[in-house]
Amino acid sequence: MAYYARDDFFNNPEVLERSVEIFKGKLDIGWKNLDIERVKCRPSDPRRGLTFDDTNVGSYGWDQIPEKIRHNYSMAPRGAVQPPGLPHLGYDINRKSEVWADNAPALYEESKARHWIPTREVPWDAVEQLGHSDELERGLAQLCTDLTCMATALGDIPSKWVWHINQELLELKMFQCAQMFDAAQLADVFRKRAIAGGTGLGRDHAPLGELLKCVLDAGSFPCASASTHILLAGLMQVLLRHMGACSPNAADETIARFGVQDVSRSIAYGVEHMRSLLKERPHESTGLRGHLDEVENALVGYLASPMLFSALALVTAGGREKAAEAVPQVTALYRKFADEHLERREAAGIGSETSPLQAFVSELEA
Amino acid sequence: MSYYGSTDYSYNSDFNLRVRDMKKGNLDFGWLDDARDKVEVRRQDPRRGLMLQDIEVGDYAIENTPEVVRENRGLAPRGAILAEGSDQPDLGPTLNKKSDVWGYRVQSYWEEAMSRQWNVTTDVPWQDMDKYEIPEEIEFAFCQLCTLLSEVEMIATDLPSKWSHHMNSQFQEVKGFIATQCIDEARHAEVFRKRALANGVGLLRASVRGEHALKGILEADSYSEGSVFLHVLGEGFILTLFRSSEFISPTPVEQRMFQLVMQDEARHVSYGLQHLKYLMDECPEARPQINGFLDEAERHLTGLFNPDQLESMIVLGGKGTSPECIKRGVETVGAFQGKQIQEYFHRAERAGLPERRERSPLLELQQRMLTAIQAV
Amino acid sequence: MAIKFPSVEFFQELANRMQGNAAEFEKLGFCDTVMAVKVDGGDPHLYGLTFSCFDCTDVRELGGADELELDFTLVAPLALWREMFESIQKSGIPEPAYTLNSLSHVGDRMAVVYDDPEGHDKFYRFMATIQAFVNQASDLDIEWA
Repeated sequence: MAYYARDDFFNNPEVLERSVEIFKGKLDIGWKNLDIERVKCRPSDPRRGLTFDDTNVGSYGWDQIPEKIRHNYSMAPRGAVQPPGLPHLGYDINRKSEVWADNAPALYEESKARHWIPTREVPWDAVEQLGHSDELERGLAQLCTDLTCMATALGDIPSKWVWHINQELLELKMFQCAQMFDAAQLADVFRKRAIAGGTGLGRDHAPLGELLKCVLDAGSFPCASASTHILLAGLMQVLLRHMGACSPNAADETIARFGVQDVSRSIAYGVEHMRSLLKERPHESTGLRGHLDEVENALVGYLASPMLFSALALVTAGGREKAAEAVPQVTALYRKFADEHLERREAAGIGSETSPLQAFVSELEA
Repeated sequence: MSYYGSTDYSYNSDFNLRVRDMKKGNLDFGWLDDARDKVEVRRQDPRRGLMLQDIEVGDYAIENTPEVVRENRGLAPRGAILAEGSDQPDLGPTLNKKSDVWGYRVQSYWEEAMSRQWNVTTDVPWQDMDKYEIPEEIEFAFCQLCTLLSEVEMIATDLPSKWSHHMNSQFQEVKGFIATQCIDEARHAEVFRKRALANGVGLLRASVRGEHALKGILEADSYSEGSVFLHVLGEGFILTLFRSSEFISPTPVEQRMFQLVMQDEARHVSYGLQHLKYLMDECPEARPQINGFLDEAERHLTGLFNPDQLESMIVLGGKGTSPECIKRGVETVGAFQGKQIQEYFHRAERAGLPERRERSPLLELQQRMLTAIQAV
Repeated sequence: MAIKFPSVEFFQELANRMQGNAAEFEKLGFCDTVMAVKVDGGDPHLYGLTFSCFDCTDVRELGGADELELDFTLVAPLALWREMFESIQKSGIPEPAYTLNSLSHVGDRMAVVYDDPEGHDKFYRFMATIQAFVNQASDLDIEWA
């Protein structure tokens, strides 16, 4: 046991006495006379239901969360009356701008409203009757193997940080829980897809591991957020779009379509988070730029890895024989990704003149 | 930055040569030549879709995973061909023993959780709230109960997330299942918060004693300790509380809320029970440690019986604050508490810890209260 | 035409309606449990209900609880089952005191019999589906035994 409460309630006669009094019918009902802000939040649009936007009111809303949270280190819900003696739950992310984005509550609502069930909603019969070659299937299975690893990282990042975050930032924590769940579903569906195709999971490879280690080992949440939400989720989005477009299989198109939706919410959060952070703390942009450049270095190693590049060429061409002819298309895919990624960096306020990704793709095109 | 990859690609001549080769279409398909055994996977029941149980074949099956996972130090899924040891970046998983995290039937809990998700925003009939008139004292009592529930639910997102990223990716189903728990519990905190804010009162008073219990859960020394406290003890008690709350709900709107949260909670309790059972079966040497932990955890839990919670439930149970109502409420709540304790002992027994019934301080507490009440 | 309660036909009709309202039950998710309903009284009856995926796939009268591997059995006298269904028929859903949860929790008017807590917890894990299943009787013409 790591934590022993200062007061052993079990042996505290007052605690027992009070409980006995209550069971004898002597109620205090002090909570009826608390000085609270009374509110009546109802759905502003009945078709949407009661959203978090509808409950963003007064002291209960997120608009009034101060930049530095000094008043609550417990799990007391934001806006509740905090009696003296609440313990410190160990939260060490207590600055709003470090994690907050104003779109997080809406993204949380969106993730619930757009939840899908891979087990049932993918047309698995299409995988059971594959109409393509084993070679193409192995290329797709390799991509799915890589995507499984990425999805696992996409869930591990919020898992690593969310329990450090002050409870006042509730809707943001809830969005991170939704990210963990979405990511777990994605890891599940990519793995199922690779195995169900018959050729099985592909290879783990070092350049991907290096990239994911750079993302996971980020030293602060803002750095982790930039590399996870802008870079990693952006990479997954473009790979899924490509897989959906190239695969002749209806199941892959479905997985790609739903997968793109899920990872795009993370991108939206990441960009908005960076903007909010830099509005409050503009000096952090230098560190974030440097961090993203460094993660891009690992990304370049992955994009140029024989495994990914050849698998993409194979999937694009539909087979190994014509894969070499697909190199320009893979290069174009990388260009699209680099442009979109750099646009997002720019939009987030962490654009780069020295982007390793840009340099790599330019070299590839040259 | 905490980790710098081993290669700086901007100054690397080998890399530049490789890029030149790729541009010429010289692609390395070595990986295609490593043939693997083909597997045949079919949905057992097309209406269910492709379940995890359907792909539990050969290298992909958990049955073929050793108790201690040594080879996989990255994020590769179970059954992938792993990079050679020295080529594999170490992502530092620390929960690498199956008995650290596994529970019987975890695959089916994962599928069930995905299948039974619901949405607070749209699945609770908020639009019906205007149909019912709730007396103010009842509304206050319900908001006090919602405050406590909203407060405690987030512990069940913080604890699983604290440990999930330490779990070896070989145990993907457990990571997945506890991610479903995180979203389930976020949803629970959401529904109680929204309800407290929806009908003219608001959130009321947080619980000092309850929070000490939450801290005890969060700061457990190991995942298994945290799990047994959270899933078996804490959520088991909360499950009974939800059952009671459905009954004392003022209107069908709140009734619906509790029906939905109850299902999620029961799933978490089941996983906790099966993890504890697996641990006791596969790692019996953990028994003294778990028992010692529970001795203190059960003392902590008495913090959850705080006056505000008891009083609000009594008012809700008796439907008012008149002496007759309070008498009725006391009877209702007293019966629930006895049930909470008995159900917990039954679960512990089933998981392989029958000794809890003898050594638990909970019975002593109950006895002390009964004696004190009867003495009056 | 009135359907007698208790009878296999009654539960089979609920199962048919469950299948007819597939969207409602698919939204609630998988439900996998084998449960029994016991109607106590002078002429006791025990019915086994097998839920699988989104359906009630098997309804049968049992000679004893050991004829099926049951997760749990809901036991109540005929009069209480009648009160419950009559409450459901008032507005489509039961009044708070007549939900399956309340009946089996408050004063244990309805007993939940089980051997294994895992089986017991399935009652709660699938509570919304099982409640929706009995709610299918809301406009059924019932002939009481």
